[in-house]
Amino acid sequence: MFGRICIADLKKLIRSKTYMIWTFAFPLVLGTLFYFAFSTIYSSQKSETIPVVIEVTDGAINEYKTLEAFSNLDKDKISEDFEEYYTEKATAEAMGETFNKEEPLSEEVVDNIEAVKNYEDMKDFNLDLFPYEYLKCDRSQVDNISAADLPFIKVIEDLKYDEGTKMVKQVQVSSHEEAENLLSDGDIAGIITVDSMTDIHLLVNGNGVKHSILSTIISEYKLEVGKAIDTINNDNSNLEKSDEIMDESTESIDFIEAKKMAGENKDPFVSYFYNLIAMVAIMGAMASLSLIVNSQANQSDTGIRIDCSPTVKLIHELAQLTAVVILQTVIILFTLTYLIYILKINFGGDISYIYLTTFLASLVGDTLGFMIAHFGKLSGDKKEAILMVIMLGGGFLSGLMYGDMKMIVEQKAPWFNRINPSAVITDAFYSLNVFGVGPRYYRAIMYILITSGIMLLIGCLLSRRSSYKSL
Amino acid sequence: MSETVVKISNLVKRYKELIALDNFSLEIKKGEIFGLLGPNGSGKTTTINCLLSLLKYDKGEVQLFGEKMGPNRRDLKKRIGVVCQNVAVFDELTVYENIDYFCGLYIRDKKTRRQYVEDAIKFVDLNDFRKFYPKKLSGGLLRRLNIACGIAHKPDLIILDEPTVAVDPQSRNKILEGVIELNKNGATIIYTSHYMEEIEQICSKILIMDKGKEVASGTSEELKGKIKNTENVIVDIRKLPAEHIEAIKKLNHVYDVQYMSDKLTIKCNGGKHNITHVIEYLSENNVNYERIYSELPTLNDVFLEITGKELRDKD
Repeated sequence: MFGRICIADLKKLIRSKTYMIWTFAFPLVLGTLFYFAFSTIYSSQKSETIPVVIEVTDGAINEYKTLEAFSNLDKDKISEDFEEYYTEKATAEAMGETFNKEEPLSEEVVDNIEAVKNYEDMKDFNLDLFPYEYLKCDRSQVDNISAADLPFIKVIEDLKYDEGTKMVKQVQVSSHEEAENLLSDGDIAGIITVDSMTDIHLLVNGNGVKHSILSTIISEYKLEVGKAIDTINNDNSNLEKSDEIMDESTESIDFIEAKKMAGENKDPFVSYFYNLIAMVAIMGAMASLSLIVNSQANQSDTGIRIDCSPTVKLIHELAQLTAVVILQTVIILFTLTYLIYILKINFGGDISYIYLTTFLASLVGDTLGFMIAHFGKLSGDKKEAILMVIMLGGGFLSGLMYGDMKMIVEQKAPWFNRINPSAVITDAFYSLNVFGVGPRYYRAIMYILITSGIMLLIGCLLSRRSSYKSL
Repeated sequence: MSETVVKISNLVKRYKELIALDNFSLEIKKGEIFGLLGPNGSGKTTTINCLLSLLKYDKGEVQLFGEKMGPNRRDLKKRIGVVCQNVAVFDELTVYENIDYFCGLYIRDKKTRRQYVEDAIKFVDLNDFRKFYPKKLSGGLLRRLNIACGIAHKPDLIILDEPTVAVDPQSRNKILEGVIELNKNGATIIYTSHYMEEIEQICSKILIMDKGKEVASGTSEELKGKIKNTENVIVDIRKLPAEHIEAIKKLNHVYDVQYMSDKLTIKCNGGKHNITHVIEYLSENNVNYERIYSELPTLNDVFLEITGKELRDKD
């Protein structure tokens, strides 16, 4: 029975001109129009260097100085000098002579050096107690270390797009206030504060692709530095070559994610295509609403016929919902395929995850219509009106008509972005596209599933009404 | 004594201040074609909807096949077929698919269902239109499709709620013949209509209702036997002076005379030669008339005499 109803409703939907025009033809036309509208802008677009202010604290410079100092500490020479000292001292004592020579290093210095067992000990070392006379290099090499020598700064300076354009540009400022002013004016994309090798913070004023790139650069950098520190800590002997390990690890970071994000997703208009997909997904609500309303006795004559039958109402409605889900999935995947393979829209990220996200997105729309269809005694027209308000209003607030709207909502009422079906869907695409398959994407998918689940549950509970007060 | 298929006891249904059914009761025996007759808004459809448990009612009880009916009585619903007042089919499905869809809500077995659908198509004579979409069908054919969707699963009780509204006479006759055939095949029928001629033609028992109450019930003859009127003599006369009306009123067996729109209606109670008496009077008084004929009382006369108003609005 379930399958038969499902197939019949599939036929009804496929043969419904209104449904097919709005959910199938209209998005293809709109997508094509978007493509031609934006294509001229695409062609003139180049990779953009991201301006930032980088503030390096004294602590970070001292940390690197310590790293450099320990890496150049000639421990062999210390051992030799101590050996020579103790030999001379033993000889003098054996000969009964007075031995006045001072130890090569004071007991305190030796204890301090020996106490350094790992990277964290080294980081906290007081350089005032460092035996500079045992440096393999000139002391000035350590003393003269400045912010520019820090591995993070070198990495930032060297980071380039594939075509050679510098990815990040440092803007010099005289004070933090000046940096904050530049940030609030939008002249820089962020302020990066380097407190230590691993303690790097990003302050941004917004949430665009540039900010995401900076965030990803810092994350990838921290990840590699963390690995380097683990290498140093795992073997005590690595302390002596910690600068080498650190330099190697940071130089070898290829910033795949950041480059991918910058290279593939520099297109600011792709968000319009996400919203288009979100719109198609939400359109499924019209289909589920229409089918369910037509099976309710207080809404339609066919509903009276269905309600008079021995069929379990909920099973009937779930079969109808299944038909909508199947057809919407086909339509939305077709639309996506058209955008990716015919219009060559670069959605970035893993295609299979984009398809998966698209499928899940369609569930939000389908269950939205299912839920609204069960809203009390309202007439079908009123239910459609509610749906249109949610679809159009939600679409607007998720940025379909004005790209920055979602960000404005995020700042003013972040909770609304969690319950707005359009925003939940676009956020999943954005997360996938900008951050890849990771915690944020999984969170977005979780929101989609929770939203769909709640709407389905509400619909099921409301459908339990057995008879009506009036028809 | 034949089995009671439907028993409605003291049903009360209110829509806020309006009382749609006022302690309404009825009993329908197996094999009857039960006519529910009443003007628009008399409570016929409300009765049907309460009977089907589509509507919640305020008081009373509905029993079908000897058991209490409720919204979750799927066993009872299986035995009922409903033909709604409005055509209830899907525009996107063909004639065959529509019948199959609704039959499938009752019959799970594919083979049986296929046979039932074929039977229904044959029954309503829509074989040539099986691949047509409803929008391509005429009003009469659409009504026949509506009936087929309601009866395809071969129910024991068939409820036809004004199935002939806005149907041409040819299709109406076809539908009425079909109803009689369904009854002959064993189904008990509830037929609601405000067309008294149809009810008179096919129903074995009739209940006339008004304002949610029973006005009268019985067979057509029993109902007519309950009123004073036994014959109506109708004369088409262009101009009739008032003194003639008063004189005709005094003729034997005449108890009421009405003259409206050049039509003189003489209501008689008893008597075998009423029309002859009228002709004699008109001839003797040199009153010219165009046509004179006699009619037996209709259910409208029954309704009119009991309630003081016409059963159906003048078309």
